[in-house]
Parts: sequence; structure tokens; C-alpha cells
Amino acid sequence: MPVYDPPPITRILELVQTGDESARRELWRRTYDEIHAIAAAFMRREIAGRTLQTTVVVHEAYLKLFGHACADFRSAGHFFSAAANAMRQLLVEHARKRRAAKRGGGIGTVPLDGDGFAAEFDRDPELELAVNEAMTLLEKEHPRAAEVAKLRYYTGLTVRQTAEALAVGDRTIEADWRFARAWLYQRLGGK
Amino acid sequence: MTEPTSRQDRLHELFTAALHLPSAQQEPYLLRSCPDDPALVREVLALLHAADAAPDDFLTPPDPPSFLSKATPHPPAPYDPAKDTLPGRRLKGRYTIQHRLGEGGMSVVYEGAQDHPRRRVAIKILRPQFVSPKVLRRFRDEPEILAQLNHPHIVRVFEADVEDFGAGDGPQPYFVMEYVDGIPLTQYAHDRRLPLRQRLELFAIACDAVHEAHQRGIIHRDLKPGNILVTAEGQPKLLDFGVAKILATSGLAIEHTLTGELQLIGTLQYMSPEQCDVGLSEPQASARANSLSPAEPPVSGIGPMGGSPNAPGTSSLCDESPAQSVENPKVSSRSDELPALNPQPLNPEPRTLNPQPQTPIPDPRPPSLDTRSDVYALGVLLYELVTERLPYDVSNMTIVSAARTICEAAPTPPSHFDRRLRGDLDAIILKALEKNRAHRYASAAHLEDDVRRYLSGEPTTARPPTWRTRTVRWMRKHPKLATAAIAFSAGVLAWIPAMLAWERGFRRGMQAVPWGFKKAFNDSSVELMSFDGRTLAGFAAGNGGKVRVADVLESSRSGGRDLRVVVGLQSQPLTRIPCALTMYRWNQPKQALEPVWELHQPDPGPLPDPHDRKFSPAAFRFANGCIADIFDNKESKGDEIVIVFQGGGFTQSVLQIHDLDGRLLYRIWADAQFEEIIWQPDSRLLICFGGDGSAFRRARQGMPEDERAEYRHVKVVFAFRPEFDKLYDTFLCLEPEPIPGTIAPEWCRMIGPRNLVDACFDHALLDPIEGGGFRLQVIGRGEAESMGSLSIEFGPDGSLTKRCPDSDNVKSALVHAAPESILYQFAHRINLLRHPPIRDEWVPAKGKGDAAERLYYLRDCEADPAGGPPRTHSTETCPLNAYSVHGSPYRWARLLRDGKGTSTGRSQPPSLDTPSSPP
Repeated sequence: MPVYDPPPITRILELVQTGDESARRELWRRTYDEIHAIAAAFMRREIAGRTLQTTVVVHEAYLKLFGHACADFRSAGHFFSAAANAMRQLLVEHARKRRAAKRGGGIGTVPLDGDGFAAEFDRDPELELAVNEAMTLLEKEHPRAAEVAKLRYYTGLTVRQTAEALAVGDRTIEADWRFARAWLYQRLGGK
Repeated sequence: MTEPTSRQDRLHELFTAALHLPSAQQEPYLLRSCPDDPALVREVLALLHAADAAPDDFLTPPDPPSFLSKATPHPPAPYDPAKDTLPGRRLKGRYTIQHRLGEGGMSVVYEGAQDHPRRRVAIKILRPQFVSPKVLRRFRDEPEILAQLNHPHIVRVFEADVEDFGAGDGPQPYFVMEYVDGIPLTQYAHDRRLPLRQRLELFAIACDAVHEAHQRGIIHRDLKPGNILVTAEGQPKLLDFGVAKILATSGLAIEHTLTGELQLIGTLQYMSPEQCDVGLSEPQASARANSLSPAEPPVSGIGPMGGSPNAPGTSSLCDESPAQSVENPKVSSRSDELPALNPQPLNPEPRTLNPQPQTPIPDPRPPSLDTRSDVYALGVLLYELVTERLPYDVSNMTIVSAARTICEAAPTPPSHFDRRLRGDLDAIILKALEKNRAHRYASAAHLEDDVRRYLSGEPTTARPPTWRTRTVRWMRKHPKLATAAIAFSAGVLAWIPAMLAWERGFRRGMQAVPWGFKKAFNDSSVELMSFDGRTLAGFAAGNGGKVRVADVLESSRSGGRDLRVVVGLQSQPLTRIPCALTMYRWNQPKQALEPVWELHQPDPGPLPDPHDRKFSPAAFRFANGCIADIFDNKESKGDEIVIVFQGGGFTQSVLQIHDLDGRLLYRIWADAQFEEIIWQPDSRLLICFGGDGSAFRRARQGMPEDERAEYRHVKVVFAFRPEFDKLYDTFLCLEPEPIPGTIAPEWCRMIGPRNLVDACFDHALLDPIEGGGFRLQVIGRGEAESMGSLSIEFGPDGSLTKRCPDSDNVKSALVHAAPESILYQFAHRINLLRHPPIRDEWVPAKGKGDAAERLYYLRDCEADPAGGPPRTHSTETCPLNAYSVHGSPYRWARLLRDGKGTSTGRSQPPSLDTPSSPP
């Protein structure tokens, strides 16, 4: 018998839509916790696999948070926004850890990650951190393009899904995505 | 908006506007639109340039979480026949497209008519919105694959081409194939209420068709009822090779490694554990659950076949890809590599790690998915066919937990639902559904064969007949003989008391052998070595393929009844026996050992060979190991098996840790020999004694022979910490200075000076001592056949804490005789630890024994706690060649060699050397 019932995620999404800042934070917190927990469980091999894939994590988090309730895509858009940020933070934390291990590691050169981050997450840490930095700049200068880039890059939404999440047209998203890619590519010194 | 923001907006706008212009027009356009700010124009141009220059894989997004597709407020428009312009259209002047049969994720299938010869055809057209190079390639492969398959029960393909269907999408590929008017296998059986026999006959035909594909090196990968249609004439037809995989060995000239990405493809319920597991566990796997709607239970569960996903008539010809069906979720994503790593105890594939392991690289080797994955799917199909249920209840599960269920849960035996299925059919189906594919049928043909055997009342391979069923079968076939046999047996009954008496005598002779292992011991090819659950095998003497029972595990979980035995095979290149280690389980009712799993020699893969020879798994043989609880229970339940495979002729080894099911949990290669290993639970370190192989590493690096001589055979004690789920393809390197690209041990101590090249340790024993440290005791031969022993105690960090009084100097310890007490204590320990069971049975080998080579072994000696000579002991002599007959357990006895023979005088063996007076 549950004594305390946390507000269902759909309620939080509704609140987020009304512009409730604390609801936004709550959504972000829950999404991050969920994604982190799922990622960690994957790492510990408690879930079937040894390694994981960004999409799988997001997917599981989504199902976990939403259950099987049908979610309106526009509110799910907020979830994906939060998920993108969560994934981003997770990847950046991981990349930092890996970079630190690489520099100070000493013993051998084999990654000996304490948290056992999986190879899928092991994008090149330098690149990951550089992308993160550039993304922050992009957020300042071109927030919408950055939003698109984050949704695509961190949660794997398609152009179509991104368009629906942000309630704008496909073509706009496509153009934003290409712009963001070009911009980031240029910012990362052509590589 | 602030000024800089609006400039940024302008930049964005200009970029977007210019993006779709041909590159030559971009600059004039920008200059026209923005005459006042040439700097901005330059910026936009630079960005446009970057957009072109960015490689395709820059910021590759992961796969879309396509479970959302259902949640989208704009579902794809329902098919509207009025808007479909294709029906009535002519193709190549030969075919008329008639009406749509159905659609799948990637393609649409139409029924068509061919003019000459007149026949109905099915035309599969790739949907324009899905044209990507990958999809295109797969789509084009399908007719190629079908063309290879000429089988009455596989759909035939007539031709393939591209055509502009005029919808503004440009030329689209399509192919024309045989029209199959049928319904899915299980539904056919259900609708017609087919008796079991007919169901099995249909199934056998389907197996034959699948086997035909396998013969051509093609794995179907998506076998399910919807892809095996039964025509009105009752003929099954196998179709939809849209996700089929061509094995590397086949002669098909299709370049089929689509991308480096991995894929989980197929229909979940019919997917084999290795297919499921990989998608969730492989790096870069792009698992996703297509058509998973959050609004619906993601995976359809057990249900009557009425819920079969494919509607009859629509033929599901196009059902090869992410279908939109909620009931029939497919896990699919991109590309084609499906290395199945787990659970797969056999042949653990060495995973290719990057030499600079910071960046993962795609495994270039062919995927290990094989035809047995199809055998599994056939097993599910057979299960469904005879029980009208699926083997696993995966309803209300997420993809990940469903996959886990498939990988881990045991299926409910079919006889649970229908008692008629007890016995052979249960066994056949469960064998096809084995998690470990090595235990499945090796091919669809074997499965078919067993089903046919069952149909004809013959014994199946899945369930070797019990004597009773065999007798009954035989009696049915040969009634006259049976009568005679019964009469004869009555006579034989008279013999029984005599036989029992004989058996009692036999059993008495075996008293010394623990009750569980009579059978194993009786088998001359098996050697028992240890029952203490600690040492797997301390001796690496090559016995030419001889099997040794190296350890016995007594599982506390089942009160000692679940005994397991690990048998290491000392295979040699000559014997060409690939298997290196087998886990047997003691079957109490049958009183016999039954193999549970086996391990093959590890594949050295990309590792360098010091001698430039062919460096194959056969070069490694099982050498040493132990059993301990290495990984705590969170990670892996129960004990683990540590196994060392030693390279033959060079000091290279690989140490692997498996769980009791044989699953590979850890691997490290080492430039070292492992002569003794213990696990120190306090410090969580594996402590090893062995030989340093740096000389070989130096040889690999090109150091001349004479220079590296001093590095040879240095004895070392070292420690390292195994990590769960790390499979290194790099070396543990025992050099004092860390070497890039290798792994350093926690610590390493050299025993004896480097130039002691001839020092040879006959026996080493590591023992844990209080406080987390351990004791190393060694008996060895030094220069000129001198013998000695030493005993050193180390702390958990490798620090020297205590030495045996006379082994201050290791070298002197080697060249001086050991004090009796140590020797006896040592021998006693070996005796107790390693071979009590065969001690009494040991009979000196017959044949000529050279007097000089006679040796002794101790029996029943006990160490004196005060350190004096053993209280009771006895010695016996036997020729040295007994040693090769019985393997090396008694090798230590060489210490007590006949003084007349070989001792050099500088150091005499201890006082036991009175060969002429054995007690």
C-alpha cells in the first residue's frame, strides 16, 4: 500500500507545459536518475547486456517513467529534452573520467573504468568533451539549432520525431540540424 | 532580441536559404541578400563549406527510439487503394501489377500477373522513403539469395530490376517472385485441427527448406510462422529472406558486411539467445524495439496461435522489417554484424580490443551468428506448432527483460501442456531451444532427422532411449525374436547372483575412490587429481591428449549432490583435439558423469607469435587453474573457474575466468607461465607463481638471442586483480617498468637471480597464511641436478615477510639440500592436496626400469608440528616410466632419487635416500 505517491510523470509533463520551473527540475531529476540508474544497471550487467546503447537507455527510461500509458508526443517532447540533457551529462561525466584515467592512469593504458562504462559509451572522450563545449556555445548563439542537435545527437530522435517534439516543421528541423552540424563541425576545427 | 543575437539569427537564416542552392549560386545569392556585411557572407560561406566537408559519421545520432512511432499524433496515412497508382501498371512489358498484398517496414508487395508464361507473381517494391544505402543493399540481396536457393519449399525469385513508378521518387528497386497463396504454418495447423503427426510432417519439410538455405551458407534469421506459409495443397513454403545473412564461408559474391554497426534483427519471440543478447550487450549495437508502443504491452505473450501476427492471405511477404504490428514486435535496427558472445560458453570469441583501447573499433571478424540460431527459431516454431503456445511468457515485458528471459529462463517443457508430448518430443524441442547453441542440433537437418525418427518410432538423438523403451520398440518390431529372447533371459537369471558377487568384489577394490567417481576413475583415460575444490591442476605435463579429471566441485547449494568435475584435456597440436576443458556433472541416478559444457583452446587472434609460426588455438593447452569465488555475488553467483592455457614452446599463457556455466568473464594474456595460482579473497588478488616470459617478448621485439638469454626462465611471484567482464587482448607484462600497451600486475617479485637460467622448479605450492599473505614453497633442481627447496612468506602486497632459515638466498636454497622437515611437510601437503584418491591404487608400471631412474614416493607421511622429521612414513620405489603412465602427480618424488644414480655429490638428497631399504 503506497503511502506516498509521487506525482505521475504525465502530471509533471503537464506542469512543465504550463511553464512550472520546479516541475521542469523534477522532470530533469527523474529523467536523469532513471537514465543513470539504467545505465548503471547495464554496466553492472544486471540487465541482459554487457554494454548498452544510448537509444536503449533512453528507451528503457521512457518506458520506466511512462509505463505503458500513452503519452502525448508533445509532452513526451519535454521528456526527450530532459533525456537529451541527462544523456549529455552522463556522457560528459564519463568522458571526463576517462580522460582523467588516461592522463593520470599510469598503469598500463587499458581503460580500467571503475564504473565499467561500456564501449558504446566510449566515444572518444576528447571529442565528446569538445562537442559538449561547442554545444554550450551553440546553445547561447542558436538555441533552437542546439535543441535540435541535442535531441538528435543525444537521444537519437529522427528529424520527424524532433519536429513533433518541438512542434515545428520537418524542413525547419532538417535545416536546423544541418546548420548545427556545420556549425559544430566548424567549431571543432573541421573534425 | 539583442544585437548579436539578431546577427546570429541572420546567419542562420542566410545559411538555411543558401543551403539548397547549387554551390555556384550560393555566393552571388549571399552577396545580393547581404550587401552590407561581407564578413557575415564569409561566415555563412564557411559554414556552408563545413556542412559539405563534415563527414557522414560526424555526430552520428544513435538510432531513433522508434517505439515512439506509435505515439506520434500523425500516424502514417492508412492505405487508400483509390490513391494507389500502381495497380494496372505494366512492368518490363511482361507483368501487370494488380493489387496490393501487404506492406512491411521497407517494402510493399503487390500481386501481379505475368503474361508469358501466364502465372500469378508477387512483386516486392522498396518503399521510397526508406531508401538508404543499407536498406537498398539488403533489399537487393534478397533476390540474390533467393536465386541461390532452388528448393520446392522455398519461394522462387524470377527477376529483379529498378523502375521509375512515377510517384516522383525516381527509380525504385523491385523484384518479382513466386506468388504464394498460403497461410502461416501454425495457423494452418490450428484452423484445420491437424493431428500431431501431420504437424510434425509439415515441420520436417520446413526444416528441410531451412537446411537447404544453410547448405548455401544462408541463415534466414527471421523464421516464424508468418514466414512459412502453407498453400492450399498443404505444401509449406519458406519465404522472406529480407534479413537473411550470408555466412562468410559461402560462395555468394555479395559483399555483405553492411556497416560496422550491429544489429538486432528478427522477431523477438523467435530470436535465439545469441541473437537477443548481442543486441543488448554488444558495443555499438543499435538495439531498438520497433513498433513498440508505450500504449500497448510491448511484447505479445503466450497466446493461442489465433494471435499469430500475420493475417492470412496477406502472405506476409513483406514482413521482413520493422513492421507496424504491435502484436508482433520486432527488434531491429541497422546493419548486420551479430557476434553472439553470451551466453555461449563454447569457444568464447576473443573480442578484438584495440591496441590503444581507448577507442572501440568494430570487430572486423565475421559474426559468430550461425545456422544454429535458425535451429533455435525452428525449435520455437515446433513448440508453438505442438502446444499452440510460445515457450516464454514475455507479455508485459520491455524488450530488454524479454531478451533477458529468452537468454536465461528455461522454457516450460511442452509436455506441461500436453502429456502426449512427454519423452522424445519434449527432448527434441528442448534440445532445439538450448540456450547454448553447442547443445542444440547442429543443423536443421539434424532436427528434421530427429523429428522423422520420432515419427517412425525410432530412438531420437535428443533422448537416447532407456532400455525399457528400446526393448519395447524392439519387441514390437521383432515379435518372434522377442519371445525367444525372453526364454533366454530366464536362463540368464540364474547367473545373476554370481554377477552380483563379482560386482561386490569389484566395488571393494574401488573403496579408496570416493563414491561419486567410480565410473570416471574406471575409465583409463581419466585421471583424478584433486577433491579439495581448490586446485584444478598443478601440473602441465603434456600427456598427448590425455584427459585428466582435474577437479571436483562440491556444490554446497545442493547438499553435495550436485557434484561437478572439470576435466582438462592436455591436447597437443598432434592430437588435433580441439577441446581443452570439459565440465562434467555427476548424475546421481545414472551414477555417471555427464558432460555439461566444454571449452576450447582460446584463439590467440591478433596476438603476435614470437616464432613467426602459425599461431593457432592448438598451440595452447590447458595447464593450470583453480576454483574460487573471484567475483562477488553481485556480479556472478558462486565460484568461478580460473583456467590457464599455456602456449607450447614459448612462455605465453592466457588466463581465463569462467563461471560454472562456462561463460567467459575475464581474460588476460601474459608473457608468463602460471605454475601455481591461488586466490586471496582478502586482497582480492590472484597470486601466481611461474616463469617470466619477457625473453619471448624481447624476441618479438627483435632482441638478439644472446642478449635476451639472461631473461629466460626467471621465476616470479606476481599478483593481479581480475576484473569482471574484461576480456583483454593485451599482455600482462612482468617488467619492472610499465610498458605501453601492456597491463602491469599489482606487484611482481623475482625469485632467484636472472642468470639462474637452469633453475627448474619441480614443484611450487602457494598457500594462504593468516593476515592475507601467502607462503610460497618450492622444491627444485638447481645447477647440475642439485636440489633444494625454499619457503618464503609474503604479505598481501608482495612484501617479503619471512623466509625459511636456509633460504635467505634463493640461489643458495636451490643448490642446498632442503632440511628434512620442510621437505616432508611439503611432500605431505602435496600428498594431501593433490592425490589421496589414487594413492593406494597406484601400481608401478611394468616394463624395464633403469635403476638410476628409480624413484620413490612418500606414503602416509605426516609432518611433525615441531618441525622434526615426519613421524611415520614409508617409501616405495618404482621405475621412472611409471611417472609417464600416471602423469605428473608424483613428479615431486624425483627429489628422492636413488643416490647411486644422478646426484652430483654437491648436495645429497635428504636422509630418505636409502633406496635399498624400502619398508
